Amino acid sequence: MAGSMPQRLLLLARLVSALVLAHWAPVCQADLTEDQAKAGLVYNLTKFVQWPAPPEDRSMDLCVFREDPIYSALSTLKDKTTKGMAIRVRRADTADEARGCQVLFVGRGEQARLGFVARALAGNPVLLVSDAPDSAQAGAAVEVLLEGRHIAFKINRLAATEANLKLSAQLLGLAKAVYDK
Amino acid sequence: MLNTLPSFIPTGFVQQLDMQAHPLRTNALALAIAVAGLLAPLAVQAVEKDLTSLSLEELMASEVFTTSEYVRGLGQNPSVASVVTAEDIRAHGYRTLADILRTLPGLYVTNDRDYSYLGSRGFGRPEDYNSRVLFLVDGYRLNENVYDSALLGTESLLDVELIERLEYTPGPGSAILYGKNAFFGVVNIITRTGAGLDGLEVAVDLGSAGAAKGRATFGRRLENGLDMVLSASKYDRDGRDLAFPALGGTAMGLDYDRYQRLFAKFSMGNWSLVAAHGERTKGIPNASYGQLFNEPGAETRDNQSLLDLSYNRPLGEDSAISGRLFYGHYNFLGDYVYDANPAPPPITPYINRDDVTGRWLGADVRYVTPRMGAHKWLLGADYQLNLARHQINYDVGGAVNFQDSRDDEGAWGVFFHDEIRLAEQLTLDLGARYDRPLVGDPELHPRVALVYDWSPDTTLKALYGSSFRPPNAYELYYTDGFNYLANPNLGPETIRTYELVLDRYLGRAGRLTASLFRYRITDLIDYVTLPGPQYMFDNQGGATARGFEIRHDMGWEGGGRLRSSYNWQLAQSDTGQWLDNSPRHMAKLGLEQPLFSTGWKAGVELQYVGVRQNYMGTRIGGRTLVNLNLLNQRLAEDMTLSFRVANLLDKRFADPASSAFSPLDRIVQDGREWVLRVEYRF
Repeated sequence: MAGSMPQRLLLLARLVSALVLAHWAPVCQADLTEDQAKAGLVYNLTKFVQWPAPPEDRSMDLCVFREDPIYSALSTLKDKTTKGMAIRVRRADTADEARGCQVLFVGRGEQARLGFVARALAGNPVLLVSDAPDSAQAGAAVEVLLEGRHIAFKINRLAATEANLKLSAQLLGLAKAVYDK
Repeated sequence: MLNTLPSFIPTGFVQQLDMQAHPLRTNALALAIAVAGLLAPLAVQAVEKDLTSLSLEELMASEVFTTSEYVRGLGQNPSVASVVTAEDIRAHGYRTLADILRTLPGLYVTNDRDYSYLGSRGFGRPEDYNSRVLFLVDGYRLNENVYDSALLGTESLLDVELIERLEYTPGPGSAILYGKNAFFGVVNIITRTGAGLDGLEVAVDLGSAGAAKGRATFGRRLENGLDMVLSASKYDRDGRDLAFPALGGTAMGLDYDRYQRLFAKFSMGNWSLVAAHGERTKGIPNASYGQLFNEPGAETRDNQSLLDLSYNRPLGEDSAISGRLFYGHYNFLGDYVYDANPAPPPITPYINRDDVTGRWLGADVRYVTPRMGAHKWLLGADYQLNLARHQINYDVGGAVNFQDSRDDEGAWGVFFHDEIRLAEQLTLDLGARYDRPLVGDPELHPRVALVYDWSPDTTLKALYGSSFRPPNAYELYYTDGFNYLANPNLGPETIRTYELVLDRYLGRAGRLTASLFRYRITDLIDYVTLPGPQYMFDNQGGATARGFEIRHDMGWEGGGRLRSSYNWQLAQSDTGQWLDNSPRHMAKLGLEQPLFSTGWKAGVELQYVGVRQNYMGTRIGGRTLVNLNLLNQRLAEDMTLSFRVANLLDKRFADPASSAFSPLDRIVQDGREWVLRVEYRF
């Protein structure tokens, strides 16, 4: 018999762990859950978008339309700051409640309501962000999407302009697509 | 369990032991070394996640990992789901799946002091071990293959502390995705992730009636992308001495309850592996099935294991492909104490035992297409091979009364679903499933839903769904040769449901949902009493439940939330009889409220279940129960304290008994019970 049970197991364990190390070691980028990546994008958008006049209480209200899994990831931004303003995160169940937000995230689950929400918010300086497919053509200013294992976004410049929001050239440069209608 | 945790293992450990390996070392040590050897290289720091620290470029360069959860929202029943999150479970201090389910609209739980049985919208049939509701844990079917049962009380294999999210969807609409057990609805459980746990949790519970529980859960997402969760728990409750006037005495020390559970989940990239095991032993204090009363030895033992490997690959544009391979094992031992010599005393007790084993293997695949014009398709297939369905009944040390073995029988199904955008405000949801079941002819069942967005805040839905349930091995073949008869001629039962839903958001006033429903069952598989008396499952005529449901949900600043629901339904057989164990009224209320800035949070539940009939037509009174939980997560760093009192008002109440408990007409439930939990995070 070649070697005892523990020895053979040990050999197997070392073989497997060596393979594991060889295979996994090169992966070292900070990786994120889908919701964290989307929340991180929302945070970055606040730096590249200019709102017409900062709100009197100097806060940046990031809102989520109804229930969406992004909420808990977005909540980690609470009490952080962006451009000198305190971040607040809250839920908005109706378009009326969303009027005071700087950013409104409408998730895939509420895709059918996206057009409604966009029309109801017309003229208000609210950046409408969505992860619903083709949302940039359905009224969202920013569409978030996953391309393979990376986050990407598309921009609807007309939607942003109609909301009196200015987008930085850098943001437009990083977008996967920019629509003007 | 704990000594396999990677953070405790020095990387030199394996090398040191290398040369010392001795042929006489036990297999257990060998296994520990192997596990340590595997985990040691992975013992690295968890990822920090400050989302503000990543620039846009860094963010876009980061790897994004998706959980093994199916692509969200696709193929889901458009009916209104109820959601319970880990936060809710903490706020109310729920201890079992049954605790959670009895708070949901339209559901009620009956307990016979051994198992918990779920009733839905007026249907809670006797001898139905939850075969009509499908339970999924991370996509794995929990219902086993002999009774089709899903175990919900202490008998479950899952600690509710491991649940991240539980969704209940009423009606058979989801049956097109999952097949046979999704008859009255689907309970979909997603467990917590290593990234979410990010450390070690150790909790100790102490409660009334000598209850004690210990649990250790470790979770971490490693830098190399491996997300792991390991958990173990042990529970023991002595129970009380219970007086049964109808049985002429008190059952002494027979209400004991014990379980042990293990759970492990490893996810990496698109792959996820879940393994779990649970075993529970419960004493039978109430002399079911005509047993001797107050005679030790009567108990049931449930033993369940699962292994589930799943793959879920997002393909972009909301398209995905997924598949899974799974294995399940279930063993039930039921010990019943009878008198070998029913003539005058002394009694000579002997044990009659049910020994039931199920083993099965299965696989499923699904493909969700990108949206193609107005259409978005989901296509799928599943297969289950029942390796074993064995039922034996014998007298311990004596004769085998009955034996039935069914091996290597397969069943499969294929399904499709299409979500069609007819107009901006109108969506048509179409789906169908074709099944080749173990018993009976092939079946084809559709689902149709029309969803109309009337205004930004108001949605109207019209739903139709149908499904079937083939009889299970217990219903078909079980017999003790005397009182309980087999019925191999049983056929499947069928359900058709119609539902109208109004869903309206009211702004600060919350969300209101109202629905009107009609459930129609034909060829209902029911437990019938024949002259003798003898008992058998048979296809009865039809039964219909009509009713409505109203729900309201609102939250407010500071973390408070109020959820309430009211149900009215009338479930009748075709002969016009009100079904047994079927309440007409149910009302529920759940309140969560932080108490000023003290760090305490209160969770209050009110549950009203109206009058029900038992199998003899005796009316068992309605009752309102109040449960209270106090939670503090700020008493000390990394410590959580909670104190829960169930049945706060010490109300004496009962569930209707089935004929198995004759001469009892009702099962009296526990009065006030308390449990204290201290939890530490490391």
